[in-house]
Amino acid sequence: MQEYYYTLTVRPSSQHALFSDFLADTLPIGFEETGDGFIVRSEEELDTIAWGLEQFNEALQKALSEEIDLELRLGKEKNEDWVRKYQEAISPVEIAPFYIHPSWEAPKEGALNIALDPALAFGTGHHPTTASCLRAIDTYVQAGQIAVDVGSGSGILGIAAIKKGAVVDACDTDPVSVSNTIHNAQENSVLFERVWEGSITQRNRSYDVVIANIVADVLVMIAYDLKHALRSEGVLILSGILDKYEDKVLKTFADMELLERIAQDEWVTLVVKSKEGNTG
Amino acid sequence: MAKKVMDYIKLQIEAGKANPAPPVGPALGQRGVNIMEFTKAFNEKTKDKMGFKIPVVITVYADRSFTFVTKQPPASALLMKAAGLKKGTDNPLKNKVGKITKAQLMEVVKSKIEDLNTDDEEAAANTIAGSARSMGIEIVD
Repeated sequence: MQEYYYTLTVRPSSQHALFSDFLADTLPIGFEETGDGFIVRSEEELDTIAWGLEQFNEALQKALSEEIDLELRLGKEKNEDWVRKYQEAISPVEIAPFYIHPSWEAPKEGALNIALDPALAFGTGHHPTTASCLRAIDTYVQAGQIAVDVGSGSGILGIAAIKKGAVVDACDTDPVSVSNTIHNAQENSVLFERVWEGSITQRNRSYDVVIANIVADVLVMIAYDLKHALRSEGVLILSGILDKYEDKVLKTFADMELLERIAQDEWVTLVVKSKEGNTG
Repeated sequence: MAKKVMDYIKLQIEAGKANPAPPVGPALGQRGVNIMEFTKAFNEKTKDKMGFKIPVVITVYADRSFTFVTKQPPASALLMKAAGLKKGTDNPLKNKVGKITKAQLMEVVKSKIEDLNTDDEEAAANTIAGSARSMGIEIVD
């Protein structure tokens, strides 16, 4: 790795697509597009590219009979081990008894450890909705219960429920999330009973605990299916609700008893159970 | 799960060649994106398009998870490949530098149509035929 890398900020006043094509043709690896131009980063010096851009701009102005202002700014910045820098920025999260740590950090003794690296599916413990759900899971999930993580994303909530001793299913409509859920379970040496790509309607049993950290509109849309996935006395953990949509969700689940409301920043998690022991 | 978008990153990267060095490392590392996860997924997704720069839009969420969408290579790159050219003309009116058939044009249209904001193949074909002519590429039957 070189000690420095070079930058070239490119801001043309017009014809962005043509400048983009020029950079795509000229640069060996690639560049970043910004709102008003481009940033080129390279371990090679970029003076030649800047000169080429000036020549290109001159030719373009002649060909199009149009004046194009081209702002070019060369820079030099300290190179870093970017993977390490990224890893240093990811800190473990403790939501007792859970300790969520990236794979390159050590687990914590005495905690329910979940190893999880931020990747292509949501749910790392760093977001208030995940943190609130973990608190609810700690309170409402008992060993031996049957639970399901609806919209599992990274699988973190289902894994937490397994760590609490529950038997857990998981589903997500996004195939990337499904494979991420399975991968993260393997990384944590736990097993989901069943993981499927699709909705909660494809379940083959009822649950003591249904965990749904999605978004308010979807929770409202699938409310019937969530309610009917519950066993008698079952508990539903609803999350991903922005406080401005809380009333809408509460209204949809008004036929259930509100056990707890957990708020963090502008996000709300609601824990509800059937008033009449309604079963699925 | 709830997703709050924190940032969008738009890059053009050579297919199958993303790695943690510049330009990818600083662009992603400064925004807290898992570089290794991205480079692995990007390279796998684009390995069938080696030789092209692939536009990619990365969406970074509040909890540092991310998604990305790759687009097709620029129409100019697809046209030059179809015509077997390294570069376009310096004067499209006077100097024609290559030819492609209508069938080749429609292959490019099929590749690009999802990026062109239209379902109308004919409209897309007209747009791309215009790009071809401006590059000095003739379209023949």
